[in-house]
Amino acid sequence: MIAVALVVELAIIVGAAAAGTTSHFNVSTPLATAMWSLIAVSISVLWVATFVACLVLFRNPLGDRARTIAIRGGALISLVRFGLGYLMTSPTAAQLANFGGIAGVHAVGIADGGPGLPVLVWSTVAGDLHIPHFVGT
Amino acid sequence: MTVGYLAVVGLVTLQALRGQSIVMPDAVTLGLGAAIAAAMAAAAVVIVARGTARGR
Repeated sequence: MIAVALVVELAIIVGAAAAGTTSHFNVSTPLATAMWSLIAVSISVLWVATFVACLVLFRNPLGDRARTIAIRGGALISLVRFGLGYLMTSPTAAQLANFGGIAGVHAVGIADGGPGLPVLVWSTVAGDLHIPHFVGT
Repeated sequence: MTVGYLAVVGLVTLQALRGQSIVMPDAVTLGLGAAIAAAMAAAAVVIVARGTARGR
């Protein structure tokens, strides 16, 4: 279930990139809205499946103490990391006031697309929720 | 160590939500980061010391 949800999300992201458009938060056309909705469903399925996996890992013996702590800790970090993604999915006041087909943002305090680090594109002038979402991976 | 990693995730989340760039941390972020690093270093020392004591 976790693998299927990830494959669906990645396939849409790659498809959108190949088409030269944005995948996340894009509700500018019926197709883009459908793709973003599919991503939203897949990441929600992913979070619930990870939560269930955590429950199983916390309820069953996993070997010695160090191994148990490592596996359960990793699962918990994944659950938190996936959950942090939802912080980015609400439209900002600026997006609602001047709607341009994007409802959600990675950056905090500014629009996406400003100056950022090479390769990672994390904002160098404002907060960026990409970072906790990535660090928790 | 899980707690330390979650603390780092919490710290970068807090930093982002405060609208602060990762490359321009303020004193609060630096202080919290230093506190997490110190706590994790202390925990590592305790863990190694316990392991060494058990090995004797």
